[in-house]
Amino acid sequence: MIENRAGISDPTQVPYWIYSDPGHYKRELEAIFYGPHWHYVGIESEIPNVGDYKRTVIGERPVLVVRSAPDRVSVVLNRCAHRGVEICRTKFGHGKTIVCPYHQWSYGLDGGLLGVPFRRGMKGEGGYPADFDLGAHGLETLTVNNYNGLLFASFDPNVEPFADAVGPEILPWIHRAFDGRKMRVLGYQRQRITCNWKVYVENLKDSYHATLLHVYLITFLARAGQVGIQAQDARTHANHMTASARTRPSDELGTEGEMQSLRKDIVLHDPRMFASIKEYADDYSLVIAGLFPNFIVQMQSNNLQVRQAIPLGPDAFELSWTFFGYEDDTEELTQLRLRQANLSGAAGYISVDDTEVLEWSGSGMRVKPEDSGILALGGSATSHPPDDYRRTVSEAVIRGFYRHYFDVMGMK
Amino acid sequence: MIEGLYASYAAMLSDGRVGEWPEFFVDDCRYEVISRANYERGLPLTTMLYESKGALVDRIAALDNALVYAPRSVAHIVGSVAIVGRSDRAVRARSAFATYQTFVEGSSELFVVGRTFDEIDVSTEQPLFRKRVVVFDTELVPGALVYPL
Repeated sequence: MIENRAGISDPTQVPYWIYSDPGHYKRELEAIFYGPHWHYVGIESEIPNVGDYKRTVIGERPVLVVRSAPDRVSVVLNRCAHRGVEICRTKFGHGKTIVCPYHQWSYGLDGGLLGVPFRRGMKGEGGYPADFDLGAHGLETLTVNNYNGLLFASFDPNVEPFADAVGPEILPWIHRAFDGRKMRVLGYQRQRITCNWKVYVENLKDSYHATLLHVYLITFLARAGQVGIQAQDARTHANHMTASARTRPSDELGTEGEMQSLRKDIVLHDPRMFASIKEYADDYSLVIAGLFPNFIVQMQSNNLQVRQAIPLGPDAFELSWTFFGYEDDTEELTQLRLRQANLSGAAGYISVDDTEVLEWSGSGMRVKPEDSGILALGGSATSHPPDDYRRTVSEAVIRGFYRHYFDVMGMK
Repeated sequence: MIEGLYASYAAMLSDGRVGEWPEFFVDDCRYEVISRANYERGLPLTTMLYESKGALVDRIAALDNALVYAPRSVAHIVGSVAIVGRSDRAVRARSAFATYQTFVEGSSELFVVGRTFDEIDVSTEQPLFRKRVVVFDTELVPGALVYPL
């Protein structure tokens, strides 16, 4: 186990032990996942009615996301204050109260303790002391932020306001998908990938690999004339956005003549997956926005998703996908969102490559943790101007993540 | 006849003859892989959604030419095949399956388990899937779903 090391401040030389050391992983849980940072916990439409709840996790701690009032969402630690029992074992549910099955301690939807059986004992014998304070023994409650139906929570009440944490450079890109319209969750995908969670965060910030690894992407989706922009928040450099657009204004991709194929020998028999409808005022066909530490929104044509890299120890993570549309979507638009999901998830035409390479990263990094990888593409800057990113072949956005990460972890 | 279709389908996957996969389907077929969690909540999001035999051919072409993945062998075990409905030209059937994966230098590990709900065209001598809905129980899919189920 490696003791907390200060003096690691060069984001071009990230040591491999931060991806595998168990002591470092424990410090990460405390400083990042249980510290003053916002963590995605769900979408409001998943719990539409008062009393609806869903179970999720932050770091390794299970939490319940509860509609505690018509206009209020509460997030509580899913653990009875009495004997530490994980109260709720179902993924979704509904109730008037939250009751621990072991000794029937009963909590309100906001986590406050309502009552305990035999509080006064039986016939004056036993029970809790007279000064036992129900108000002091509620479920641990988290600080919640609801951004147009996108729900975040933090174990640390001193977390800064959500908009400040995201930064004005990035917030409009979150707003692009979460503009206040009522959302409709279309479904979930979940994978277990044997690799440290941070490597996935890197993957989403890594424009270098996109046209090198993903043959399918360059064959059918990316165009020679594609243009893009990048942005990072000015304060931490750890939140980022990448948007790319086709140069031609047409958003139709359904015809064979439109497709530029690197592998001319691959001919699509069923190109319906590439049909799309223009939804936004801008012409970007792919927008990815990532928030520190592990949250991603992706808008790829009509396919909208949020993703989370949830740590499962230092050597594995859950990649959790939530696909969504809006309540007022036409049936046709919903079909397009569902078809385009073939690119993503466990079997996705683009995502399979990433999943496989991530597992190979995991196995490669573990064998010699004292070594460091190289993140020197484009120099050592941790941000670069919002330029056409193809003219800025750079890993600056990844370095931006590690600049902030080292700071949060006290490694500077 | 129906059991034979399931047996030869499983043999095709286990033998690594995945290039023959589309030949188990009619041209106007529908193939879905969906998690049990989505299926039971009535959520339409699938892990694979292929709406014609051509889309199945496209998947195989991507496996051969585009996707990057580690070599593995698959043991696809199928059982509990049952016919649950009949019409003139089609049979509705269901089955249970378990898929094990073995990577280079690896031990064999359970990949996913689940059920299939199928419509089989029996209008010709060779029964073919018209619709195959694969519902997998596995909450966390271990790594990538490369081959069909």
